[in-house]
Amino acid sequence: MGEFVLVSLYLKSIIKSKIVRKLITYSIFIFLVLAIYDSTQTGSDSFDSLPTGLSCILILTMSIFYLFEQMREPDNLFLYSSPHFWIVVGIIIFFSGTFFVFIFSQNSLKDPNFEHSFNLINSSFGILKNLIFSIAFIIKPGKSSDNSLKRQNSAYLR
Amino acid sequence: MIWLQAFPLQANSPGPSTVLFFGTLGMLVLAIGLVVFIVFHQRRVIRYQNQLQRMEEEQQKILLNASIRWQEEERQRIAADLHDDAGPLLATARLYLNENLLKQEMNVQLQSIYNAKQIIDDTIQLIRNISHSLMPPTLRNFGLESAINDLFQKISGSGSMNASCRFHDYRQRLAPDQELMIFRVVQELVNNILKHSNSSFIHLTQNYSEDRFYLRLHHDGRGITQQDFDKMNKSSLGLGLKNIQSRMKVLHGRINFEKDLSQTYYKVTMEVPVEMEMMTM
Repeated sequence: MGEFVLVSLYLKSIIKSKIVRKLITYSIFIFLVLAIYDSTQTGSDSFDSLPTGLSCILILTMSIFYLFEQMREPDNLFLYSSPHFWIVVGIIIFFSGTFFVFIFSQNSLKDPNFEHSFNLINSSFGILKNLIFSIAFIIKPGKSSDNSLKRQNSAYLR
Repeated sequence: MIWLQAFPLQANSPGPSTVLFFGTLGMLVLAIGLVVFIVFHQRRVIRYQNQLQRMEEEQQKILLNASIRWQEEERQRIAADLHDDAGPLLATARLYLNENLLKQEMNVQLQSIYNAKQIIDDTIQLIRNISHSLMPPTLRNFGLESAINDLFQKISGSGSMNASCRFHDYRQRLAPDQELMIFRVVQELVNNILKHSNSSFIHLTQNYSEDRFYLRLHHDGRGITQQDFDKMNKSSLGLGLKNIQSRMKVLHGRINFEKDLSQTYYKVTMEVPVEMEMMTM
């Protein structure tokens, strides 16, 4: 729950579209209500697959939207010279990799084989995510491309 | 290997482990594919932008060269006018007024002075013509409508072509620089029509709408379309057309060459955002 809220707030801070920012705020509230309702229904001893799966889908959607937004109106001349890009890539890879394992967790986590798989997948993608995040922390932010890419098509006589 | 051991694939029916393995792998491939696609697409966009920028710079260079060449030609023309016409006239006047004039008889003196005066009058007229060709006084004093009317009356007066113009909405004069540039464009267009089109008439109409000033020229001779205009602008030919292009760029306006729907006339439409004349107290 906390993870979803924090990641959503981070994505909200880097997405430029006002409508999507509003939608993120609403989705946080709706998600919180749904997660609290779900926890009252299923009990605290089982894995809450539904809210976790939903949070994965929402975070992936927001991350993909950020990438498409950057594709349309890039902040940097080279997308991969921005730390935000690497953070979002880390988020996408982690949440897409762990999506299925979270979905199956509610029913199968008591199975020792599944638990082994769960730990393996979760840890592998966690390491991968942290490695990608470390690139984001090491990288120096690229120069802004205000003059080169936001330039309107100035071919006269359009 | 650890992963393959962790997910024993079941041959008969796909169990949760198989679904988990392929599902996770599929999602990972999709995610990496998406990121790779976005990175490559952005690189392609950058390449395209660079290409566009290069083309724009090239176009700017062509326009600048045309403008410099035009200036040089104009200077040469003025120099030739002064050297070939004003120079000999003044030299002749000097000959009439040399120091031997005082030793001549009275009537010879008077004749010489009269001839010199005639020559000096001709020189004044010549210099006035040169000055008018540089900056038409009608344009400066009475505005674009009068200057274009004047130009068209001269063309009609020559008898070679019927030229007419009509200003529908010209209540306030434009900024002097704008008027001069629009006038030069009209002059160049009319000059081209006279030289190349072999048409029997030129008609110009003016209109004004939503802070935009429109001028449209019609003629029934051989003309060019927008495609020809763009092509000639990119080639080394068509100095006058390049001047029109660079002037329109300075005016932040647009020009469009087209053939009339009836396929009988050629139309040239100019659209210029209006800058009103600054009122001086």
